[in-house]
Amino acid sequence: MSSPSVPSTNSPSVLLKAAGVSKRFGGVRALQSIDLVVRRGEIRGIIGPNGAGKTTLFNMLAGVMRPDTGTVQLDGVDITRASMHQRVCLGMSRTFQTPQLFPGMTVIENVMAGTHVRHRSGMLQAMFGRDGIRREEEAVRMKAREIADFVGLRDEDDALCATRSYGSQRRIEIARALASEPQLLLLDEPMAGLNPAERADLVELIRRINQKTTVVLVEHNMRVVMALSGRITVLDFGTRIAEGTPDEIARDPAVIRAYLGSGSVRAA
Amino acid sequence: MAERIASRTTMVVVILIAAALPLYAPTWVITLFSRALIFASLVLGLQIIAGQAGQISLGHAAFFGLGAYTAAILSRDYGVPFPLAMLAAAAAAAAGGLVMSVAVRVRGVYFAIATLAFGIVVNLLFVNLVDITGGARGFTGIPAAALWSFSIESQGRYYLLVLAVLVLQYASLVRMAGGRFGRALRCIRENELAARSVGIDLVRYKIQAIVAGCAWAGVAGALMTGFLRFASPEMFTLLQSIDAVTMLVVGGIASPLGALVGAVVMSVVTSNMRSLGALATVVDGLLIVLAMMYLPGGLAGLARQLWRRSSWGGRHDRERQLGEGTA
Repeated sequence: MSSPSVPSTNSPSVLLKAAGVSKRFGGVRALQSIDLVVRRGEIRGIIGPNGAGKTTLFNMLAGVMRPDTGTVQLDGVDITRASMHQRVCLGMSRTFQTPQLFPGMTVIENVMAGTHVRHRSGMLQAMFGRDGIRREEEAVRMKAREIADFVGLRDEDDALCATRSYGSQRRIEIARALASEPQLLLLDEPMAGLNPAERADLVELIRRINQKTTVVLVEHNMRVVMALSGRITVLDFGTRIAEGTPDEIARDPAVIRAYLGSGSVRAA
Repeated sequence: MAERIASRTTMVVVILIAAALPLYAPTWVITLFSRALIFASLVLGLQIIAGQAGQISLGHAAFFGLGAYTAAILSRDYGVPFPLAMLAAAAAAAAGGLVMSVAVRVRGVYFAIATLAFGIVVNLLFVNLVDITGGARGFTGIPAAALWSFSIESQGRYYLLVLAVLVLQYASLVRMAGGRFGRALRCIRENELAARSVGIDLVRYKIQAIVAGCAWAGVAGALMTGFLRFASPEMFTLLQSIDAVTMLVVGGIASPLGALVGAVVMSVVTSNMRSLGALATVVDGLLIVLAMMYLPGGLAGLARQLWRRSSWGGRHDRERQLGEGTA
C-alpha cells in the first residue's frame, strides 16, 4: 500500500504514519493519496484553505471515518479500521472543534472520564467488589486532579461543565484527552473561539504537553501554527502541496499561491 | 462530605421507619406500601437504563412480566423456593433484555419505539401462549412465598421481604453508579460522541445497562406474583411501561433516589384515585405535565434544592458557589 514518497523505515521514531490515504464524497475527491509521517515528540501543524481536506484527514486519523484507500499506522500498528475505543487504548486521543463535553457532569468527572481505558473495573466489581473499586476511584480522582492542575483548571472541580466559560471548556476537554495517557494528541482547531489572551495561554499549554506527548493540530490561526509547529503540512484541494518547517512553508510559492494568490502567508 | 454523611444517616432512618411499618400500620397501609415498593423495584431498573445510560425504554413492563411468569411457573409447577424463583426471574428478564439489546444500534426516539414494539410483542406472547401463561384469564394458584420452611404468608412479613430486596437492589445500584461503570453510562447519556472519544464502547455499555435494568424488573415481577399470587397479561401492558416512565420522571430521572420517591409517591397517589375512574388517567397526565413544568429534577431534585437552602446544607452550597466564583 505504501507509496514511494513515504520513508519505508518502520523506525521507532515514527509515531504516526498515513500512506496513500484517499477519500471521496460522491463526486468530490476530498483527499487524494495523502502521505503523512509524524515523528515522536513533534508538533505537527496541518493547514490549508477552506475545503482543503484538513478536517477529512483529521477524521481519518481519529477514526471517525475510514479512508477509501490507504493505511494509517500508530506506533507501527495498523489502525486504519480500528475503532475509537481501540485507538484510545493504543494511545491516541483527540479534542473537537467545538468542545464535546459531558455538560451535566462536574469538571473533575469530565476529566475522570478520560481515564476510562486505563482501568478495568466493570459493573460486577462495582456491585460486589469489596474495596477494589474505592481504591480505583481514589486513584482516578487523584490522577484527574493532577491533570486538571496541569492544564490550569483550579477551584472548579465540582462545578457543572455546562456553566464553564468557553476557554475553560477547551481546557477541560484537553485535560480529559490527556487523562487517557496518550502518545499522540490530535487537536482539531484548538484556537477556535478563543480570545488573544486565552490563545497565548493555550499555546504555552500545548508546548508543555509536547514535552511528553506528540501533538498533531489542525488550525486556521496562522500565527499560532507558525509559532508552535516543528513541521507543517499544507493541504489544498485534497492534496499535499507542501511540507516543511514554518520558515520553509512561509516562503513556499505553492503555499502562497494557494492562500492569497500573492503576498505573505503571515498576513493571513 | 457533610451531605454524604447526612444522606446516609437519613437513609438508615428511613429504612428503620419503613421496616417498623408492620408494627403500627393497619393492613391496608401495609398492602398499599408493599405494592408501592414493588413498583419502586421496577422503576429502579428503569433508572439504570433511562436515567444512568439515557436510553428511554417504553417496554419495561415486558421484563416485569417475564420475571413474574418465570417466578410464578417455577414456584407453582416445580416447587422452587421463592428466593431461587426470584433469581431465575431476574435471569429470564435479563435474557429478554439481551434480546431487546439489538435496539441499541438505533438512538433516541428510534430506540424508544423499538422498545415499545418489543414490549407489545412480549405482551402478545403472554396473551397467546395460553398453555404456559394461562392467557388472558390469568395465571392462578401461585403458592405463598416461603424462605424454605419459613412461611412469609402474612402481609407484614411479605412487606418486610419486599423491603429487604428493595434495599439490596437500591444499594447495589448506588454502588454500581459510583465507579467507572456508572460514569461510563452517564457519559453516554450526556454526549455519545464525547463518550466514544474517550474510548467508551457504546454498544457494550448500553447492553450491560439494559440487561441489568431488566434483571431488576424481573425481580420486581417475582415480588409482584408473590404478592398478588396471580399474574395476567393486563399487568404488563404498554400502559404499565408508561406508568413506570411517569414514576421515574416525577421522582427525578437522574438519581436512584428519584426512582424510589417517584414510585412510592405515584403509587400512593394513584391508589387514592381509583374512585375517579377514567378521570384518574387525566389526573395522571396532569401530574406528568406539572412535574415537567415545575420540577425538572423531579421530587428528588426538589428535595435536594430544599436541603441546600436549609441551614445545614447551606454551608456546603456556599462553598460550592465560592468555588464557582473563582473561575
